[in-house]
Amino acid sequence: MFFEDLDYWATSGGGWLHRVPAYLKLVWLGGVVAAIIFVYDFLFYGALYVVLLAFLFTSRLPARRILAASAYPLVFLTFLFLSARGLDVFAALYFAVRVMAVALTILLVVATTPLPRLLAAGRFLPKFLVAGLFLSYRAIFILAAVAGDVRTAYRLRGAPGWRRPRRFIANTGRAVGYVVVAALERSENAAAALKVRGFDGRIHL
Amino acid sequence: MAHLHLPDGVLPFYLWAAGYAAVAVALFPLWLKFRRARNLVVFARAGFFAALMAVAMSFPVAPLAYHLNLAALAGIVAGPAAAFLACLFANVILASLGHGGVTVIGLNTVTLGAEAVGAFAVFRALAFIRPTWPRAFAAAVVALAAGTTLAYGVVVAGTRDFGDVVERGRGSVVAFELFDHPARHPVAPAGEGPGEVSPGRLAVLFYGFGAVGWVLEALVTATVAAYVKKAAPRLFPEAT
Repeated sequence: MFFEDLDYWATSGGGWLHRVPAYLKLVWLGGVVAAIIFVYDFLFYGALYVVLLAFLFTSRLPARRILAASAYPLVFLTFLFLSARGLDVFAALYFAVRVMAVALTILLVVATTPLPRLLAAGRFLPKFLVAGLFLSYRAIFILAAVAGDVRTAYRLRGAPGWRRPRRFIANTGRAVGYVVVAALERSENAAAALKVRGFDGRIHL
Repeated sequence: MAHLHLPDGVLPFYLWAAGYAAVAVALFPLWLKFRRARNLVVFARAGFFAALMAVAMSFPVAPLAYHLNLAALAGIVAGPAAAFLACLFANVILASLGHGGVTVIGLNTVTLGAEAVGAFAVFRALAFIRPTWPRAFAAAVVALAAGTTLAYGVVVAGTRDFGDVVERGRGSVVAFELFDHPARHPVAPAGEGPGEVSPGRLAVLFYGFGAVGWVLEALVTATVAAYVKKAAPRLFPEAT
């Protein structure tokens, strides 16, 4: 799963970007977001994208996978371009560079900083939001393990593919159902554990 | 599977700021309730459902980036408060994967949250239907259609000045003559110039692809809801 890979790269990577303090990366991300509001210049975004590519290729990260993930917004843009009249090559390139520059910035920040450290740097966020995000972050790995086991069991029992759609959807529903029940049970346990430990809405990172 | 996650850099500032404001308004009573009652079950459910949604959304199930989003399921099984909070957490996590933007976390949460809360409301309104499967299926289809409509409205409202943004971006490039400028070509009638997004075409694309997603997602939602009701009735909030 991409999230597990990102976490692995962030915690075990040894590139120069990994050594940059988390708050500086957040300031950098804030700068790029501010640029989205105030800057419209194509050359600015072109230059920014080239700089980001240089960061990516020098920070010991799997460049191809990160670039592929940063291209996800192009799906949305394709819909937009298909419904726009008379857009030229420039418009397509302009928006593609603009959205991919932001996506690549975020991915570089997340792939080089463990999430707990990012959350710790985000002290300006509401406490319950930070606590909820941390809980979700922990839950992802727990549920990914459950989902992985279910997937293995599903395949071992000869999982039907799209050729038998009715059975495929029924079985997928049951498999997801099992993971949902596991999530609900574990959330109750987590709530009990938080209560026992006197959780006051803040997680100390 | 009902709509696309909005990326950064496309919608204007006033729109995504409004998205954050809407989320803040929706969360304020939840936050007050949490402060007073310390409802940790809702909080933990939101955290785990957000994780579940993030895991589901990172697995493509069909071409064209179709994936389950489980928002309707969250609304039906976890209740509206936990589901809305889960949508916010899930969108923050997804934004960190480059799946949906940082600036539009508010708007994506409003869209996804509307699906979750809508599914809960419709599921509750259909209490006269005894079997869980058809009730959850209908609730999911209605909620997902509403979510798509909301996302469509946001995109139409946000891309009215799409052509202007392109023109402003073209400024420095024209000086270097890197691209041909459309001003050299005949001027199109008002509202039909280069870069104008056609709401009709966008509707065909949104609802055309979205409808397939509604049915697939609703099938899974209904099957999962029926499974949870049967396998773990204690965990299923009877919304009647």
